[in-house]
Amino acid sequence: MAGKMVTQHTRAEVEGLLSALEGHADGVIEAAKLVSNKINEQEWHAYSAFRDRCDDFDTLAIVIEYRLKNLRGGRDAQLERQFEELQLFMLTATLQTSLHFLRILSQKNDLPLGSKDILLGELRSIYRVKQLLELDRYKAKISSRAAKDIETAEEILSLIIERAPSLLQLGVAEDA
Amino acid sequence: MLITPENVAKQNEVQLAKIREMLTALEQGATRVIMAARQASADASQDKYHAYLNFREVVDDFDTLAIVIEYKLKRMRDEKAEALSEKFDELTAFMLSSIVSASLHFLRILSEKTEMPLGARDVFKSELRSLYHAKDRIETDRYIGRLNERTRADLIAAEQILEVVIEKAPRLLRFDDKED
Repeated sequence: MAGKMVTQHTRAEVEGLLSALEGHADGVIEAAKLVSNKINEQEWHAYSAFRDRCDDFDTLAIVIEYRLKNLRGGRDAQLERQFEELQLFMLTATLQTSLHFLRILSQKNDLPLGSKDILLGELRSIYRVKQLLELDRYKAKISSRAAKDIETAEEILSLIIERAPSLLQLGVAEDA
Repeated sequence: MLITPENVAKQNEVQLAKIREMLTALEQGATRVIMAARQASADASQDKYHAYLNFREVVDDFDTLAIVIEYKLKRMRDEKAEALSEKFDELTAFMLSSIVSASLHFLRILSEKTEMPLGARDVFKSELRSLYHAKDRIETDRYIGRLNERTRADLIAAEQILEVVIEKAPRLLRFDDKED
């Protein structure tokens, strides 16, 4: 847009947001632990709290990405690295959590209503996270544990999709 | 069943028929998304957000089926599957374009509000993520060549609205009360 003025942000402002993002990451990990226990007890309500935490992290990360682009004094390699590391940490932690949920759910022959929503939510999450982790900016930086998790994710996705559409109730005829 | 060329061909035909059926269901899903977006958008103009939940649900249904189709297509080694992959990519690009357009509309309505009630704030955050991620995906090599002029213009508008909305974000989203 011609003549558009973009507010430039100070390093201190962005540092404050990065610190808030770290707090969100801790919140996601805590919520994941809680919901893992609840899934074993077949209580599903804690799951939406976990997803809300993930969404909050995601929203704040988008805000930070844009603010890093409009930093007063130009780009800051150190802040950008810190942000990328935090994103990578979150992606690998989310992948581990999704794998954990899917392992529990894939062992069930009959899924009660609440757990079907979790299964579908996790299927989409694992697919998206796997795609992001395979981007060039993360590929070279992921740990061997995360690389193994990506392989497992591929196997689990294939397994669940083989059982679709009956398991996923996609509204199309069952596989032969 | 014995693994003979005839049996393999027969199995491939069965799988292709299944994928065709899923693609038809995906097309129907796309139509549902468009209709739900219209309803949600009409409601949001009047500060009602119930239809928005339905819109997000049909988008999720579309995404789930799209993932299943993508995996099934990846496993097919058949020339006929290429035509289906082409159709699948066209449909996905169309859907991503529609989502960018719908999210832009929602964010325009919401960003004009000075006060945001709780329901509106959730929609605002959800649409911020939706626009960002749809834009991120649609700008990859896989889809960028398939976009029409309208979508290209929407992507430019999306970048501008993301900038504006994100400027106001800490205050609107209450990430950090000390901000702004």
